[in-house]
Amino acid sequence: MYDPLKALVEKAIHEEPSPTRAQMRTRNRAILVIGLFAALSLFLGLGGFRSWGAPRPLVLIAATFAGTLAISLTALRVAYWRSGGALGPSRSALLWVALAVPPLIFAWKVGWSAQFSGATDLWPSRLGLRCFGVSSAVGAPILAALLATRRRSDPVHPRAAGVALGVTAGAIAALLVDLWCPVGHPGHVLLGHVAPIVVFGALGAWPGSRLLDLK
Amino acid sequence: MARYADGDDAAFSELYAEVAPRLRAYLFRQTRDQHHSDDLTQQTLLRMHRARGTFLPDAQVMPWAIAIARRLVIDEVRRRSRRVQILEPREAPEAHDPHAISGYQHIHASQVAEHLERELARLPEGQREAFELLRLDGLTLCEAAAATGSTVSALKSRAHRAYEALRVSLQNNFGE
Repeated sequence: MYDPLKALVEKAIHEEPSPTRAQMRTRNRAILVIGLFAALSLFLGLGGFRSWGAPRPLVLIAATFAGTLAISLTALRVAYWRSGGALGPSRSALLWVALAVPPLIFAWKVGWSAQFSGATDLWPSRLGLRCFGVSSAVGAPILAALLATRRRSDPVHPRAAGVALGVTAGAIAALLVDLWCPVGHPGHVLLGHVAPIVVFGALGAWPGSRLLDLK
Repeated sequence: MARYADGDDAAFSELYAEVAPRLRAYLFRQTRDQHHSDDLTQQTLLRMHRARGTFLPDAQVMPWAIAIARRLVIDEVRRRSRRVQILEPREAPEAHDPHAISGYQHIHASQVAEHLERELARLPEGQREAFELLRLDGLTLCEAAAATGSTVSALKSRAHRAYEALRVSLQNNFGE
């Protein structure tokens, strides 16, 4: 039996080819590699791992890096990885990422730094703006890659997903900046390491609502 | 849907047969307009086509389709600032068989159905949506919660309140 609606739909999809799963996988892998490469290149171009004349104990470096890595990977797992359902992570999971990750990274960095004499001292010439700039530069290609590879994947709450992905990108950038910056002063960490995470979260909202939704 | 997502374009017919009738029924309930619901069904299917590359291998297609359709309705309502109207009950896309029961029973069933429809439209939107997704669209609690971005317990609570409200209303009006 002729179904005019079906005919209309078939005509429309014939005129607009769409990538298959395999094509999307290839595309997404390429985007992620490019994004990561860009972030690492920027990080290395801006100085990479350095001590600024005041080397931190190896234990402190390892501890802050490991903790930030664990937080970033958890955020990535929750906000980015899709398993099981086709509808993306739940709203509560996205909310957890957006609200918990910034204070966790702050507490971990400052908490560990406080265990070492001088590690939380104020550096008058390093209030945090440089770290803010490096975090922003390194985090931008990461956020772009995360959003681009999750395009058209969240029909339920794309804006919240965009915020969570923004926070995740900021956390990954904080991971690299932690290797670049020896300052553990709370004010510095707040401005230079945590504030970019929050800003990226806010930045992820609008492109999230446009890119992640199924339009 | 999995085969269609992997590039088997011939699978679209099967996908359409599975999804389109339920989508049309869902969208007709939201819009109360045959042409509008068909238009939204077309848009939903087109969006599913565009996003087929993102469909996960073992995922359920119906909650995904309903979530897309629901979003379209929400965007439409925002765009037009139009509220769902309580209109005279119209024939849904699925036809009824009027000869299956006796004349009196048919009249009684019609009255009950009309009453239920009116009471359903009066329920708060969350309760009405929960009831429709679970009882009319046949989604499981988990699927309906995922499609609406809600939690299972919240959806269960809303559905229970809807059942209670409708049960009380039927009891008061028809003694059933």
